[in-house]
Amino acid sequence: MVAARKLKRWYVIHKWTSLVCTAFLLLICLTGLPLVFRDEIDQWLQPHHYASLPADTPLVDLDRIAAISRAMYPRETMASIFIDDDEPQIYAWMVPSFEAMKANADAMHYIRFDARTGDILEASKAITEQPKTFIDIMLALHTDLFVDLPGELFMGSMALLFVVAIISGVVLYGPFMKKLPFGAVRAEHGNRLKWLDLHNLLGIALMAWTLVVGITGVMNELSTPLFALWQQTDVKALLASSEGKAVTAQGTLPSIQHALQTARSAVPGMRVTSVVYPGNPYGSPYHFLLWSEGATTLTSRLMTPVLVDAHDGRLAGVVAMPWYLRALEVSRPLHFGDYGGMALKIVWAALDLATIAVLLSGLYLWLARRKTERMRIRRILVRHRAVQQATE
Amino acid sequence: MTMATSPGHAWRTWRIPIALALLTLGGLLASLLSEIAVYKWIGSAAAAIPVLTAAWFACRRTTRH
Repeated sequence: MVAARKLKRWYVIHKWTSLVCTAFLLLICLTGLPLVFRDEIDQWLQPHHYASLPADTPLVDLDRIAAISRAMYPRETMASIFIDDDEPQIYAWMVPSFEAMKANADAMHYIRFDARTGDILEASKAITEQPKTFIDIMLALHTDLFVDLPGELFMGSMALLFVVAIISGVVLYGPFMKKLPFGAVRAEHGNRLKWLDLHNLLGIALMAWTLVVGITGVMNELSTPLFALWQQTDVKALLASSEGKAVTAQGTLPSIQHALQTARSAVPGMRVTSVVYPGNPYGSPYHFLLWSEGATTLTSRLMTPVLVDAHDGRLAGVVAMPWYLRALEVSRPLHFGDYGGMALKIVWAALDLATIAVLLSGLYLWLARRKTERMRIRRILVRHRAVQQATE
Repeated sequence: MTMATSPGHAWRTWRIPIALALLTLGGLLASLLSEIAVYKWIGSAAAAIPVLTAAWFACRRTTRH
C-alpha cells in the first residue's frame, strides 16, 4: 500500500511538472534545433569573405584598430575590442558615451576589421537600429521570450520543472516496465498503450542527455544574476583599492597593444579574446579588462580576466573566477553541443527531435487518458439513468 | 502497479537504461575532454547510440513482451 501511494505521488509529480512546462519545452526544443547549427546558418545567410593570406600572418596592431575607429567616429567612445578565434576578424565596439551605454546597452555599434590587414570590412548601425536576424529571433525565443531577465528566470524555471519531470519519469519507469522487456512496444493493444510504451522507451533512452541539457539550461538562464553577484562581491572587493583614483580620459590612455602584450605575459598559454575599455559599465573604471581563454576544447570555455592599469599600463592582477561562474562556463558547451564538430551537432539535433517526440507523446497520453475517463463517466451515467428509468 | 523488489528483477529492468546513460555521458565527456579528432568522433558516436537504440526498438515490426 505504501509503495502504491508513493508511486501515485510520483505519478502526480510527473504529470503536473510535465504539463506545466510542455508548451515551453516544445518552444525550446524547436528553437534549439536551428541554434545547434547557428554558425552554419549565419555563414550561409551572411557569408564573410577574407583576403587569402598565410595562416601564420600576425594580428594587426590594436592601437591601429583603435586609431581608425576613433577617426571614423571622433565624437564617440571606444567600448571594447573583440578578437575572433573562429574567423580572422576583429570587432571594435563603440558607443556615443558610457552613460548612453548604461541607459541602453544596445546603443553600441561595431566596425569589423580584417584581423591580419586591418582593412575595414563592415561598419554597423547601433544594435537598436539593426533588423533582428533569424538566429537572433530563435535565440530570444529560446532564452528570454524577448523580455530579458524576467524571461530568462521564467524559462529557467520551466527548465527546472523539466528536470523534475525527467527524474519523476525515471522513478516511474521501473514499476511500469517490471513485467516488460526493454523496448517492448505493444502496438497491437491500441494506440494509447503503443504511445505509452514509445514514451517510456524514448524517455529512458534519452534520460542522460535530457538531464544534462535540462540542468545546464537552468544554469545558463541564471548567468545574468550570477555575473551580477560576482560584480557585487569579488569585483567590488578587487576594485576597492583603486577607489578614489582619477579615471583616465580615453584620449590619454596607454597603448592598448601594450596592454594586450602585458596580459599575454600574465597568462602564458592562453589567448586574449577581448579588451574592455576603462569606464565601460561591464569593466573597471580604472583598468583595461582583458578576457583570456585556454587553448583546448574545455579550457577555451574557461575565461580568465586580466586587469591592466589604465594609468601606467602595468599589470594590476589576474582575477580568479568563483566556482559558480566556472560551473556556468563548463555547463555552456554541454548545453550547446558545439564542441565536437559537425558529427556532434547532428547527434544533438537527433536527440532534440527525439525529445520533441517524448513531449508530444506525453501530451497525447494525457489527452487520451482524459478522453478515456470522460467516456467511462459517460458510461456510468448512462447505466445509472437506465437503472433509474427501470425503477420508475 | 507495485515496486520491483528483487535485485534480479531490478537489474533486468535497469541494465540497458544504465548502459545507455553511461554511453551518453561517456560520449559527451570524451568529446569535450579530448583534443584528438578520432576520440571526438567516437564520443559523438557513443552519444548517438541511445537515440539509435530507441529508434530501432520503436521501428521494429514485431514486439516481444
